Amino acid sequence: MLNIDFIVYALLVTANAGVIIGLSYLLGWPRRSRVKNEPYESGIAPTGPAHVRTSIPYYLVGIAFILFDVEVLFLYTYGIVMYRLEWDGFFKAMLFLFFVFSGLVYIWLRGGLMWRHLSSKVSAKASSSQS
Amino acid sequence: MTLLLSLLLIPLLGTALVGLSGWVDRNFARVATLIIMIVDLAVAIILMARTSGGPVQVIHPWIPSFGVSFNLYVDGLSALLILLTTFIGVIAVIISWNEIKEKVTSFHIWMLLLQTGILIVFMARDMMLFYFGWELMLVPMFFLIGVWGHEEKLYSAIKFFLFTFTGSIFMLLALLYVYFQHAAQTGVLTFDLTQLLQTELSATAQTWVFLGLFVGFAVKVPIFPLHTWLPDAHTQAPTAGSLILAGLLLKTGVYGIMRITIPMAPAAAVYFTPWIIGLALIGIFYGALAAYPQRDFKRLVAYSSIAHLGFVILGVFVGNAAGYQGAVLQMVNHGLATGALFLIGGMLQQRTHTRLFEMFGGLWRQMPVLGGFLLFFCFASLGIPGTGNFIGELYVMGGAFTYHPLVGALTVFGILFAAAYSLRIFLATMHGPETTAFKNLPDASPRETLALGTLVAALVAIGFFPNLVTGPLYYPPDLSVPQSGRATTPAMVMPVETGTPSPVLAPTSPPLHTYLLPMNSNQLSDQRFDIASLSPDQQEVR
Amino acid sequence: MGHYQPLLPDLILAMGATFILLLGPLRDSQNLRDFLRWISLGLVAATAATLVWVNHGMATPYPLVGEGWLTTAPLHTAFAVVFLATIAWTILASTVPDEDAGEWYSMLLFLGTGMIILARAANLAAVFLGLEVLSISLYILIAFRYSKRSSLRGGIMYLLLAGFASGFLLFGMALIYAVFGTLQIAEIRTLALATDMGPMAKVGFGLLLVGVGFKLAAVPFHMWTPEVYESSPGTVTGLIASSSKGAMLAAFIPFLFLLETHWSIIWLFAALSMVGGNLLGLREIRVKRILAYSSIAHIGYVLTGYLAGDTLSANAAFLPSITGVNAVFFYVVAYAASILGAFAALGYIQGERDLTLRDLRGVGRRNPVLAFCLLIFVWSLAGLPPAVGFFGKIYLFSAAINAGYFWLPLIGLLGSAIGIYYYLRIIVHLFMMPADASDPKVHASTLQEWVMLGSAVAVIALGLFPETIFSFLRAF
Repeated sequence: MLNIDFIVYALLVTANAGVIIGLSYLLGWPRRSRVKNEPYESGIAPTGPAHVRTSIPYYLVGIAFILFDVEVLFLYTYGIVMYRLEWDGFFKAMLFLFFVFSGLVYIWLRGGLMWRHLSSKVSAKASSSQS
Repeated sequence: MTLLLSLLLIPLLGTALVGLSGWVDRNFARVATLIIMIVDLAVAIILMARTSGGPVQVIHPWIPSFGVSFNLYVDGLSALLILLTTFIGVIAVIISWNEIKEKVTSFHIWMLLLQTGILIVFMARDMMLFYFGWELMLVPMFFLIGVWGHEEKLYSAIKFFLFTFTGSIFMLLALLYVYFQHAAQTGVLTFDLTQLLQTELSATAQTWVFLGLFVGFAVKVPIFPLHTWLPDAHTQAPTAGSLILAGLLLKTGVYGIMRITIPMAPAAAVYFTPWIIGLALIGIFYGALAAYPQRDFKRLVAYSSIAHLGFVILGVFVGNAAGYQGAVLQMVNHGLATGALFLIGGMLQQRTHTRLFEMFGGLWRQMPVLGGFLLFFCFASLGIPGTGNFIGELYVMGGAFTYHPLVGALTVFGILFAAAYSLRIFLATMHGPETTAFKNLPDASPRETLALGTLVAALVAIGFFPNLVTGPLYYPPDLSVPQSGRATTPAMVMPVETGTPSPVLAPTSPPLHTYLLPMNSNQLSDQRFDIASLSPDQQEVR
Repeated sequence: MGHYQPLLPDLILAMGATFILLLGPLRDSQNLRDFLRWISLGLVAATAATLVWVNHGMATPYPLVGEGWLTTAPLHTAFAVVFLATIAWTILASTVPDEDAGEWYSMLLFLGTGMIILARAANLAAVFLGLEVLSISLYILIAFRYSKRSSLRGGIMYLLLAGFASGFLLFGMALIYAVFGTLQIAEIRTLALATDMGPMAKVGFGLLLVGVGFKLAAVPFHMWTPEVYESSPGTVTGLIASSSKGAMLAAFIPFLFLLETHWSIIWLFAALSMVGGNLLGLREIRVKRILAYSSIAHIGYVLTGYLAGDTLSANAAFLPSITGVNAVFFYVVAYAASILGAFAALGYIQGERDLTLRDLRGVGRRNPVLAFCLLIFVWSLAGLPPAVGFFGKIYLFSAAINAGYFWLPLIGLLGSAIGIYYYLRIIVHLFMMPADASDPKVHASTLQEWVMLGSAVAVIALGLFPETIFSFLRAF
């Protein structure tokens, strides 16, 4: 059995991509200038060295935030069907929350939320591993 | 039967004993191994006596879901080779008493494991157990060569291993094919050789099964184009390793061909016989020609092994009882005589730290006893009357003449070549201008004299009473075991496989055990093997 | 709460792992580390017991529990118990970094959770869930010595490539769902066998096979293997090679109906892996990489067994006791028993840099127990009697011959003859080469040596009595 829909879809996608690329190639023409070669066209002109040190705890807390943020997302979907799922669903949601909460406790116990302590510890570790 | 099991378990459990005793004192390991080997030899002698009343068999379930059973079956031929194995095992321990100075305990543990593997091969009736033993032999031998060998030991050990292992793959595939064919035809899952032999195989299937099995065993024998591992392995192995390689491991290949390959695919065996006889003849001449110019004592003896094994294969494939008996005789004789030559090579190397002929010369004056032994074994190797080799070669030649006069004539030339290289060994070491390199070399010690003397006695005994070896081949068969249905197909049939003694060729003098144990000899036929009565129509066993 | 009962093993293990994760940072003392080790071991044992108890007596082919997520088929339960055993072995045999004991044991338990979910998955979503739990634990375990550059490199490499493979797998699943409208493997099987597969379904299953091939490191998807194996801690390498692949193999059993349409792809995977893995290992001098290449070859052998199919597939053999799937089970057990020990032993020997064959010299003298164990394990990997690998290989190739394949067993056996060479090299360097001036550094505690020795004895005992493994399988 030949799946016509699939082939038509695939052809359409390919054709669409081809048309867009081809049109931009035909309609535009390259202009080279100093401004054009800058990393961010019409943005802020880059200054200073590229290797800027950023605080590592910033990333850690940022990642922790994203993780919990994403996980809490599931609770929205649960909230919609909460009454239909009854107590069984409630237990499962609680189980889910238990694992999420354990993650928070772990970060806490590990000192992942202590900004000052963390930055000194991380930098100590980094310097020791370099040696 | 506890006899068969104890034969296997004595060396196997002996490893633990040797390990413990070697932990206390390294000399204890030697003594313990020697005692274990001697006990095993005694068990083998008792077994030999038992098999004269019919085959001894023991079956235990092992892997029922795969149709594998722990199936040991010993008849005359097996018992003979088992006796040879245990005998050479004792000699090997005696001979490595002073040679092995490093890692003594593990050396003896590997020796015992090797002995277990060889015994499994000679006893197994179940083909998976056979293959198990076949592969089990590899690792101990690999260690014996690789750890205690000479200068090129690693190369030789790995080459030996890879050659044999690659050959065994084809054997395994052929065995599995027959196994599944048998299961498809009868619905019975079994690796029992007796039952596998009943499988109906088409001509094409027989051809492939034959080739697979034959390649597997031919590597071990070795038959001409597959022989290149042998000179390296024999040369580099320690003395005991060379002795076991020449005396036993090569025999497992011949045994496999006689026991499994030919009965499994008899029609294909008949079809391939001319080719294989051609290869055997090439082996005889190639081995002799390659042996003669060698500079290395053990390497020369190794190449001579190829020639001797050519005789054995020739005897197996000429397809008559004389050739068959000659093959078995040559197997035993080669194990004893060539093994002894390796021993002497090892002794010379231990004294002089070289194996090169140009370093030797005129050693007779310094070591008359060892020289005498060397003279005897060189003569035995070229087949002088009075040694077993003479009888063996005579039988093989008789068989070869029966097969085709041209083959017989070529075989005679082969023996002439054997005289050349055998005499060179002796002349280059003991005769000639006396070497100045070595002074005051010690002659054979009592321990060495004992080992070599035993081998001389065995060879002379076989020389005068060949029925010591050929007798067991005619032990009564076990009638409860169903005989192969192949006997009716136009094929070459081994006397042992059909189990019926040939009316012409039955032993007369009572076999070995009658000298040792009282036995009931009325089962033996009293007909005589008469060399004068060799005529083609009587010789052919159809 | 009745329908939670079948999920009890997974819940126990996951909650226990979380518990240990929280216990770890509490205090930094040797007592706590020992306590964590034994409590993890207890958790694994409790999980295995629950697994057996929950699934006991459910003998129908693919019964489903937990809302159709997991199967209770005896074979899959047996697989799960074997994987738990490998986790328990690793808990005992591993050298734990001092400050991160909690994380180490917890990740091992999560790894076990992933394995038992994946091994019993009856649903495409469960396959993905199990695979991801397993993979994420592995990323962490591989990069566990994160202060070492090579360790981080291996972890990131595995992360990238496994993520890539998951993408293929997921897209394949999406296409399959689009065609068949269900995630239940049993239903997909029925639908796929009843109708002719359209191109979309074929592409979907093809992508699924790509994902599986990545996870199993079958040639041509084997590139990550040497690097990742080299840089992981020894015991973790053993787990990647044995039970993490084994779990994928177990999860693949319900898909064996694919043999009808995709057998040539699997045939190619098997043949290429057996030849490629063995050839690539020949010139390598770093020991863990040698074993990595050998593991590629071993996956080829296992796939040969899969081609022989199971009793349910159309190539139903005339010998039901030697089906491909049973042989695969035997082989997974045999291979796990050997490779775990081998990599753990290499892990004890390893110093700062990559372990080469040269470093093995003199180990036979320095530490005969460890060298003896390593010898047994390598012996078994090479497939020589009396070690268990011998019968493992024979069963696989028997099953393949039984199902009518001839060339594949021949290629496999020739490949294993090639492979013998590098196993022999390991043995040669262990026992037959004079040691260098510098002594090899071997760090193994008494407990670890006993675990290794027990493992080596088990390898020999299983090789002498291979029926034990089938009896174990029949007990479920």
